[in-house]
Amino acid sequence: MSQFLEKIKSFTLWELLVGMKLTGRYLFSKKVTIQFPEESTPTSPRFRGLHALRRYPNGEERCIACKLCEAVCPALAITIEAAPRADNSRRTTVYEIDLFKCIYCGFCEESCPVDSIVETTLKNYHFTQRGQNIMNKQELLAIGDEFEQDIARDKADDAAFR
Amino acid sequence: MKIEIEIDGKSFEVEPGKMIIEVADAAGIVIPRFCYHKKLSVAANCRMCLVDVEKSRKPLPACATPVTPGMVVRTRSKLALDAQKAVMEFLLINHPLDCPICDQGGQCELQDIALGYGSDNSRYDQGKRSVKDKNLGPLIETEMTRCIHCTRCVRFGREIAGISEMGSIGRGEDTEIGTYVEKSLTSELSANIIDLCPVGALTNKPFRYRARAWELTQHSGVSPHDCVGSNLHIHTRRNAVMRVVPKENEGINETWISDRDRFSCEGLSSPERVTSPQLKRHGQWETVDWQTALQTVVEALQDVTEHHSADRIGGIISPNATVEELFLFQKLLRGMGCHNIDHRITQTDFHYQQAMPTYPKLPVSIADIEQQELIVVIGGNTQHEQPLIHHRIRKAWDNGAKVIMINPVDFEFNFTPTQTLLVENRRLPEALTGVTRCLAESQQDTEIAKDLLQSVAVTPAHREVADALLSAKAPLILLGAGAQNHPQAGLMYALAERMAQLSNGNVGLLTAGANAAGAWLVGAVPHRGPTGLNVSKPALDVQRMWESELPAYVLFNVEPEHDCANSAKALKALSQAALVICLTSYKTPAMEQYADIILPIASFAETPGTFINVEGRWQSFQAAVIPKGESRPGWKVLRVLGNLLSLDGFNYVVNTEVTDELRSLATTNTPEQPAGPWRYPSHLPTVSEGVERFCYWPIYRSDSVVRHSQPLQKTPLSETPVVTMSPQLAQRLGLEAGTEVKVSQGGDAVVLQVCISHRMVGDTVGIAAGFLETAGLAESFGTVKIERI
Amino acid sequence: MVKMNQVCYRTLDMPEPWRLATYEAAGGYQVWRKILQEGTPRDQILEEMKKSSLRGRGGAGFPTGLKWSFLNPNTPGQKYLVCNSDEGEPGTCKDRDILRFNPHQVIEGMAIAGYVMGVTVAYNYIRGEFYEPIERFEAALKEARAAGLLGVNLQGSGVDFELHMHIGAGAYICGEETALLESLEGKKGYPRFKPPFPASYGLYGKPTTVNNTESFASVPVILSKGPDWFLEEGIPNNGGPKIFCVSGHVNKPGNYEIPLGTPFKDLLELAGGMRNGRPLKAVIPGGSSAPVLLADTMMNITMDYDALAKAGSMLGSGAVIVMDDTTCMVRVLARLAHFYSEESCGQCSPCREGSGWVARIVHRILHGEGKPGDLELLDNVAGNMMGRTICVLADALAMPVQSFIRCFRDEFEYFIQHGKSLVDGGKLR
Repeated sequence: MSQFLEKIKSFTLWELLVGMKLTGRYLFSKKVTIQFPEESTPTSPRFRGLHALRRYPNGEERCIACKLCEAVCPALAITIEAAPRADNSRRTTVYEIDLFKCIYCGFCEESCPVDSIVETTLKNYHFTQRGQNIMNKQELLAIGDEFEQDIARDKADDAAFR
Repeated sequence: MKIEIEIDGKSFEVEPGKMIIEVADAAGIVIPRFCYHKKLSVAANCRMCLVDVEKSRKPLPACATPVTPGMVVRTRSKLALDAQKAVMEFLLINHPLDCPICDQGGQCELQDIALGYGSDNSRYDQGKRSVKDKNLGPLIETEMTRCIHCTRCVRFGREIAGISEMGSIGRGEDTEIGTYVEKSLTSELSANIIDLCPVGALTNKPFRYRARAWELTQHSGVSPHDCVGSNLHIHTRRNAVMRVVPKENEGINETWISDRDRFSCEGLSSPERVTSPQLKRHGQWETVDWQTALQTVVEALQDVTEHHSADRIGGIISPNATVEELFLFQKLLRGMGCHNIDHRITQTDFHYQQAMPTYPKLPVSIADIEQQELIVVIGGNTQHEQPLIHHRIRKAWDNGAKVIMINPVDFEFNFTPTQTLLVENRRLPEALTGVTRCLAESQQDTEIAKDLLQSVAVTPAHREVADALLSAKAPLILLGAGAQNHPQAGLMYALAERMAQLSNGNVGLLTAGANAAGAWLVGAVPHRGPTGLNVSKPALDVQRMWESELPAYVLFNVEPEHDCANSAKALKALSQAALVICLTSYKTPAMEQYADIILPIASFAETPGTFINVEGRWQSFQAAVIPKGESRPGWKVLRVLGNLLSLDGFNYVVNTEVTDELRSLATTNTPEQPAGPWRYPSHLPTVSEGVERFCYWPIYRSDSVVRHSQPLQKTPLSETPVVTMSPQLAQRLGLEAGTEVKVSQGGDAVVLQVCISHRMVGDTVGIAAGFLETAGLAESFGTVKIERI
Repeated sequence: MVKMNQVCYRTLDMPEPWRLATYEAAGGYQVWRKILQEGTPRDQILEEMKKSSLRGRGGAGFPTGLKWSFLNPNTPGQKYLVCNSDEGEPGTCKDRDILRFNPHQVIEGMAIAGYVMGVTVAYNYIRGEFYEPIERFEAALKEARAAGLLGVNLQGSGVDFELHMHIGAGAYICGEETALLESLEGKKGYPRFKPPFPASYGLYGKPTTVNNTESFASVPVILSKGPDWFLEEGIPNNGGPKIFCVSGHVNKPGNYEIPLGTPFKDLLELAGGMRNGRPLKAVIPGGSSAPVLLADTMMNITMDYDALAKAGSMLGSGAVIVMDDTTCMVRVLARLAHFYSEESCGQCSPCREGSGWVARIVHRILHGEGKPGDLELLDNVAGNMMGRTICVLADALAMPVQSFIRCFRDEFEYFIQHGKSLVDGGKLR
């Protein structure tokens, strides 16, 4: 009897069908694969990606050169030089982050009293030449300018949990 | 008689009359405070140091409560802590929350104490007070909104600086600290209020926003600007000197430093620094590497020795050089056979040099100056020349001492001297002779220098000084720059010593530069070698060197047009010389003309070294930063030159080997006794008639580092090159303030503006040195002709 | 009937009472002349002063005789005597009238005190806003000098006594004795930290005694009528008559010199009773810095140092501020707090910052912007100020704040909750 059943299974390709069942299920189930770069996975508003320096809505840079981020950075990735600006306010003359040193811990963002340095949710970037790993103030501000809306939204989303 | 008290359960035996906070500080028990400072009077107004004293219902301020027998103090009981926390809250309600942009952040007493005694949340939800900032000049930045009214700065001005510049205005919440009439602070110690301010209300202006306290590395240093040798903390960051703050040394500078010590570091980054060796080839300056430069120097020096002789080289070194540099400088030149070495660049008379001790040393320690009963200053503007010695003199005056000034100018001091004997500069020896005659006559000891004394008539002012000297137990006579640089300096020194002998007193020299004592000890003088041994043949002093117009000069950190007396003579000698080698940190326009080789050497804070201060204290220090650019520490340059010239004994590896060698020389050599007694002339030299120049170095023109410090040059104390004269003289010459005049001396002439001052006397006119504008005059103390252009 | 005006105002009913002649007609300068003629022993006067148990009339109530004994007449060096006429306490106006109507009695009192303590130079520091009193006192000084009652070697007795007048510049804090001394020295009126007390380190660093105008004015009468008479005019430990400056909602506000220990009821009657016959609500019995007392306490109290202290307030300078039931206590406190925040000298942190804070909280409540918890905050801030400063100005603000909240909590709470007054329904008049 059992031999007979085995034979029938063999002739009807039962094992194959059992195997195909799994395939079939995944064929019609919701796909997890995404089409990078056209698609991307969702990220948390807390995602710690590429850094940016923000501005106030009136265009004034937020950073006041308090150097707390430089002090707190465990990887010593931040370098700041400060001096009085022409209007006597305290500003940075140099603000550099070495992305090779950075460990993306987010302490800089935590320590910032004016929400100036932030880690955006940007995670896709690359360097083609040596030296590009050091982001200077202009670059950081440019990123901030470009993604200000996203940064502000992420900050607002997360505000309740801070 | 000591009494016993108890603080926090521990018993202490203390002197009665001490305050609780002093006992606690000595025992390491922390009591928070803002207004209390150990060097200032007790104000007891911040109320932060309230402690719980048994048998007292209310908490008492530890800073103003004297200890009593059996007192039981609790600094951390509920009563004490409640009071301290309450005061903290009151102080914080109107204090801005701007720590991130405040320069005091990270080194702030309010921040530190708030961490321990403040709350994390404020109960104060109303508008905070804001206060208009005051402009206190180029050294001190203000942010008066941060002020917590501890009044330390006010008390500093009144009690230490001696000028009541700061005060509190308004009452209650509207109290403001300020100068009332907006003005720059003019005290030479003013910037100490930066250190005193417990918050960020008064901060260092040149240092503003440039670094955070936690980024700085602290190095110990010694001030290179005067003979006090103030101890410094040099704060550096990324190989740059960011600022200088005082290092406490009770015996020297207490907790203070002068503004000159604090802000001279701004000159280190001047664009006029030379950062690489340079040679003049066919009238053009070329930057070369060290090897070429050193080789050129060696060849040039050998050339001079061959064509002339080694003693046709003049070696002139700054009295601000370190012991190591001075020692190697003289060793190098003496090794070549040249004894023309001198560091006394501001002096014009060297007659007394044989009678000098091995090195000049104050007869009392700096700290003991404040215990003196009578201090006589001859020819000294001590407040500007040695601010911290002047501070001790002022303290002595405050303690009831008499202070007598014998000066050619009625210098403005921060106290009123008991007596000021004002005479024309050329009549200073006459005044001293008169005083000596009074003393000799009252002591019936008139044999010494009889003729000289008889040649001078005694005035009541002379007698008054003499009476004061006789009535004091052990008067201290100090000779300032005006006496040491005087054309009759030797005679004046001899007379001062005679005055001291007759009145049972002591004489001290307030020497120019940071290391004159070291220079004498290592033998940076033409007539003596290291440790005061006489040299085989006497050589030329600095003035003879200029007059002899030698074919070669080696200048170590000296800018003759600024630093030397009789500057025009110096410039003339240098311009005719075939070879001028400058070891220098700064290049000046004049130097470009006269120099042939420039070797860049390290400046202040860039070289290790040793200074011997005016009380004979050796103070060694390490370099805080590496020298700028290609410049190298002076002692290393000299060492390599010694090697290249194949001289013996130049194989030093570290600078301490040099000082070790000097120390061992000092223990084995017994310096010869100074030459016999001074032979007094039979009469005073004839006094020339006409207008006479008095030359002095203004406080912020004293050396090259100071001259290049921009903030110091902008202060009210910095001077411009003018010719200062009394109103009477101006009237006689028909001149008004601001008139441009031609000041001529023989063939040399300079054009200066007239400044009229009631502080000048007779026909003496003040023309400062340290300026290119006045460098064209050949004699620092000679007669001058003043003509309207 | 209560006996009135026996001491300081004894010349009041005479024509031109401020003249020397008038004063002498009333028996003035008898004691001083006797001293100059006979050289009465100092100890005897001091004993009589102590026996009279005259307590300082300026506010603290320190026994005057005892204070005088702190200054040893035999110690060498200059000593000073200072009269505190910087009468700035809200509600107080007694010294002004003494200087206006009886300046010579102050001069005589000071001269006697100077004699007792061996002081030859004295100052009277008069509040700068007083116009008439300054003129009257100046004239009286002239008269006394002309009559040989002030000056050097007076009437051949060898006694020197010179008295100078100094006009203040309008700071309440200069009524504090050490601030007054600073001001007299020409400095800013900052109270000094004590100890040392003025008796050892006073004016120009010399031993100094400072007394109130009324205290000095009481001296000649005590000595002429005897300490026993004076003591009988009061009650034990509270010797003599005292001036009460009655102000507020009474029909006849004014200065009433009545014996200490007189019931408040009688004083109120003298002052013509409550205005419009309204019921009494509360009384501040000793100047604005004294804690407030409620009507029923007041109606059963006698006006003397000990009874008021027992009731939790103080006699202070004797300024009795009477308030009827139309008074909004929030408004009263706001006025007081504003006064003290304006008058804080700004030296000590708790007072400088705290007085403004308190004033702003009360101001906020008064403008209908009070917040829940404000009363606790107010009470706590006042408590934090109390006893933690150099002088007692902080306490002078803290005490009314705490007593107002304690006594009228309902009114304050109503104002915070409803934004308007419980009493008259208004926010601001």
